[in-house]
Amino acid sequence: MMELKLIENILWIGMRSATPLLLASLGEIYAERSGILNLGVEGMMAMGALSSFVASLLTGNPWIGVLAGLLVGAALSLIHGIISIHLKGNQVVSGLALTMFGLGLSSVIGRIYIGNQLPVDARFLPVPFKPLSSIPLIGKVFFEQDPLFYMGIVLAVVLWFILNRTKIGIVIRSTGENPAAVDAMGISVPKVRYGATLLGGALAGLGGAYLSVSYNPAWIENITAGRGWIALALVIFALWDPIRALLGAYLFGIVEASGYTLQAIGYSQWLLNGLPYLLTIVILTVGATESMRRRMGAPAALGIPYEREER
Amino acid sequence: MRIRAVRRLEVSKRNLVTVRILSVIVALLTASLVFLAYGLNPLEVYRSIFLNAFATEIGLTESVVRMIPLLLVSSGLALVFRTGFWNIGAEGQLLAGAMASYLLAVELPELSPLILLPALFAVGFVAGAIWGIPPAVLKAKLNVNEVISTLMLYYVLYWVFQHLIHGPWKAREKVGKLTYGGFAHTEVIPEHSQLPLLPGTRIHWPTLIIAVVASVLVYFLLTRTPWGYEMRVVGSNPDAAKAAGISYLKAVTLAMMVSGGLAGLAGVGELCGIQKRFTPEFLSGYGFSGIITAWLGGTNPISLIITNFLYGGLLVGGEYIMITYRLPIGVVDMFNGIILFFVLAGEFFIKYELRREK
Repeated sequence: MMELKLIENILWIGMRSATPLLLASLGEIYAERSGILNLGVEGMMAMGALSSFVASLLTGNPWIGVLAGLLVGAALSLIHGIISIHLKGNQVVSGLALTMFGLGLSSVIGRIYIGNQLPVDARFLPVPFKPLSSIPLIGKVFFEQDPLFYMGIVLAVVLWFILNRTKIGIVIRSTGENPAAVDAMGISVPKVRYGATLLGGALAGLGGAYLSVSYNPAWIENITAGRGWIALALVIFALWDPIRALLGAYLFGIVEASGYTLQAIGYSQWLLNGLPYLLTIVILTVGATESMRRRMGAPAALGIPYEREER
Repeated sequence: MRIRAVRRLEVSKRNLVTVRILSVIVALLTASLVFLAYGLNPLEVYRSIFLNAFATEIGLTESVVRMIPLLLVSSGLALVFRTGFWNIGAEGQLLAGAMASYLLAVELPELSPLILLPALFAVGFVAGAIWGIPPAVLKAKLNVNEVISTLMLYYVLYWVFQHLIHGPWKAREKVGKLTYGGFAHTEVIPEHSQLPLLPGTRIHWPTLIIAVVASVLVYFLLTRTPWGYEMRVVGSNPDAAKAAGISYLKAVTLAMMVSGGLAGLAGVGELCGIQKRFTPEFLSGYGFSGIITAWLGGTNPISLIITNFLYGGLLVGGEYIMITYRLPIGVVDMFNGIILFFVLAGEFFIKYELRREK
């Protein structure tokens, strides 16, 4: 009985720590599918976390916090969009710059909030759906969560459907594979790419919002702790597929949560802190191997600025 | 009438330098918004950064102190970037070098500095190089994204480091006859393992000489040797490299060994020249700032030395204003981000010219 409770708890924490990773990687999948590599996820998440924390604190309404996170994430991704799409700049460097900028700005603005806690009304709390939540083992895991957790699952399914079963999805995928063909069809490559980049930023901001209004509803410096990078690795592990991102994020979350349990029985907390990053290298390698084996690589035009042939 | 961007056929050196300098100036102007938000006069702040970095003797020597690790890191990064491989984990390679030299420094007996000091640098180089190899091999063999793998390896080593200084490497404090594990820091390395300093300064001159020589050697390696030629081809035209039978694995691994090794040397200098022991705050971000100076300075040693000296000054002045005006440490990251954004935007005007069309 004790062990069942322990496993249930690991799964529950795992799902919770997976949610911000899932949200951010879903957004990045769209950006990358359109051909834009945005390595600024960590910075957008940090600013999303800060802005939603501040908005929730000021208004007492976590939904306004979520909105702020979405908007600020999107606003930051616009900088990357302008540099990558209009100015045809190097996307790796621009993404790194965005990470530095976002982390730095969140620490500069956030300094006065360090240690502040969100009042209970301004947080998202896990709400049990009775009686489903009392099913042993999986009840709490799936039916005692907060709204953003469910939003993550719904988004994964909806975004998978749009990408694979609708015309918009075809256009986004083609823009990442063969932008010249999209251009020839009379569709604006920059518009598609801006759209996907902004969605990516908004969802990274949402992932950050989850961190500061639900997962850890207090402001601490460096609240993202490398999660943006883990989300980027998950995109590759998922082979750029939203449903696989869902599975990958939960797998990652559960392994990470198991680590916390090891800490409780006396393993070094420092070494366990390093575990998620080692795990990231592993899933990255697994993803890359899979992608080679199945010949499902990154979008062909990923990271390459589109230049229209002179006519 | 509309405006159209046309690719320039030739990039002039003068144009390049002018645009880069203008980009940094515009970036600093933009960053001044932050000072305004803190109710500070940006002109005063910049004046104070400049004066504290370059107008006093201590400012100048401290700028050189910051330049040493930056130059080592960025020389290596400038090389590896030319192969199209994005090493973002120089901070971890620096730490690997510092940790290896610590192990040697506390073990070695008092020997002639002619043996001891080269040995410290040698293990630092090797450790940094070793920490740099896995991402190169993973990329070449399995196409594993190096931006993420290099950075993740930094995080992994960082937490191993924290584990060591909070546990196995922690110094024993003595109170009377009792010894106990005190704060999270290691023993100070023995005096004979510490690097000599220029009198009255913190400039550990052996590392300074190594850094300058390294920046020249890297340039020589890249422009005058067959290995360097292969690195450039791999970076500028991977398909042609493949067709010509150039091994991607060999070119990138070699570049990463140099890059990791030089970052490792920077770690040796920081430990044995400046800090003399490990504390949780040992790292100060040279591995990340070096990305920016490598990007700005390129592979030319003269331009790298100037860029890193100026950037070192920015760090010295920055630390001063952070203390005086009580600004948070994140200001440096934010500055870095803004400078990069504007340099990237400036690249556009180097590569393209705008033409009016009727």
